[in-house]
Amino acid sequence: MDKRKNRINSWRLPLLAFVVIIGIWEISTDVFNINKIILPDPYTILISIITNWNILIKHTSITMIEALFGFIIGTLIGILIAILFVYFSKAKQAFYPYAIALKATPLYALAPLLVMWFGSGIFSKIVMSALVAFFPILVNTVKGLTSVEQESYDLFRSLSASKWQVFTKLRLPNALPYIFTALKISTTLSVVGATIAEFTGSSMGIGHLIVNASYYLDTSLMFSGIVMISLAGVLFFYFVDYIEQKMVFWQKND
Amino acid sequence: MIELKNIHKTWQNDKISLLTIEDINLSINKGEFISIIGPSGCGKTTLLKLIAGLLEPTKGQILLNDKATNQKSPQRLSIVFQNPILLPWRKIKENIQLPNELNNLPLNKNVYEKIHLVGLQEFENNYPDELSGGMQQRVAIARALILNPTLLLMDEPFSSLDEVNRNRLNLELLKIWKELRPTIIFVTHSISDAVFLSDRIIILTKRPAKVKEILSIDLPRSRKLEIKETLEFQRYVKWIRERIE
Repeated sequence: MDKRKNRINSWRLPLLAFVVIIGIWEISTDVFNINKIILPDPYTILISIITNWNILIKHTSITMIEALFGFIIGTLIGILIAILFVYFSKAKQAFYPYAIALKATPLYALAPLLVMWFGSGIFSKIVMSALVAFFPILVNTVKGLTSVEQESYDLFRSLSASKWQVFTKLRLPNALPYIFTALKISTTLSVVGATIAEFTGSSMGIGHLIVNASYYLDTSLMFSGIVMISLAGVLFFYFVDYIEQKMVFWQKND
Repeated sequence: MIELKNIHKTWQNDKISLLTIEDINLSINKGEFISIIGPSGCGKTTLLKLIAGLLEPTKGQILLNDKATNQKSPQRLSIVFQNPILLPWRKIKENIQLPNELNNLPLNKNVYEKIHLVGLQEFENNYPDELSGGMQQRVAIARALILNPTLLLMDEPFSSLDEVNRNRLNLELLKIWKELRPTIIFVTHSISDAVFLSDRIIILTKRPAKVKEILSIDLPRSRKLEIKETLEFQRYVKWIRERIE
């Protein structure tokens, strides 16, 4: 009961802030008589979302499918290479510093190049998503797999555990909290990656919709697209967050 | 029986080489309770790891029942470390099952018996972070006993506990020792615990560690806490303290 009360309380202030901001926005567009092409008011955006619902859903799903595929591919390859790095230290020494450096680079700048190489279809978007999702996963998985205490290794060795057992029963579960931290970062990155790749060249997806709407000065539709993809991204994040709570139950989150 | 024959251990890295153990000779009888005591940082843990086969001596030989420890033989030895090192994603029962699991034995072999022995019946389905430090160390002991080791190596296992808990676990350890009769090598910095528990105490010098004295404790067995009040007990403690300082 107390827990539920706390949850409601923790939602109350953010909700209030939301209502206040939307309210100020709504009123100020009226008071300052702002042109709807520059900044439509929230109500107009809401109407636009409702009237364009079908189109918005279609394009949002396309972008989310691209992001999801990219996310899965980036994750799998990231974890695989992390395992290779951990067991072949020469490979790690050679490539890991670049992985750390690239993690902090705006790889989105590659989007036009990827569209040129892989075409304006869905594939170039998946590659972009996978690429931006990949580096955080790689770096964090390496961190997680190597952060096992020496005493734990000693325990497993004294029980004559095989290398495989040390990996599956010690290193991998130990890495899970680190991996999930990266997964949550990568949910957002992969959605952004897909959208940006769509900006540069595509015939569908929310990025395409937003760019197209801008040609027609349909700012309300642009905002509608932004709202939809943001909501989808947030849903994606909380879905992974939920799985984390189920799988990494021993790690108490704040 | 365990025999250490002129054991030397040198730590080496790029810059320095440090002699931590110099010419240690020991022989420990089957079923004996031995404590190793010495100034902190003198190499007690290193010595224990050498006996466990987790480290290789730079020079010398360690024989367990006439077999060298570096031969890959299924020696029945277990270690209890300073920290309980429980896997936080496993329930208490699953933590205790770990040695069975790693050795492809039936999972539940000896499990309930050992849970009972350390008095954790009610907690078998809890997770480690739900238990106090003393209870966690009990789990570690149960886990160490699961393969019925003939040699139990303990590295300051109770040093992070308060005195009440430490005394209680010391008593339980004696009870377990009496029941299962493993050889126990117990590293500690508590002189009083060493006297209370041991048949013999090995006093090491500061680094590089050498054997300074070996002291037999001729107190009657089935010891209770009251024994610590006796003059004899306190004489042992004083004698050791004078040699460590």
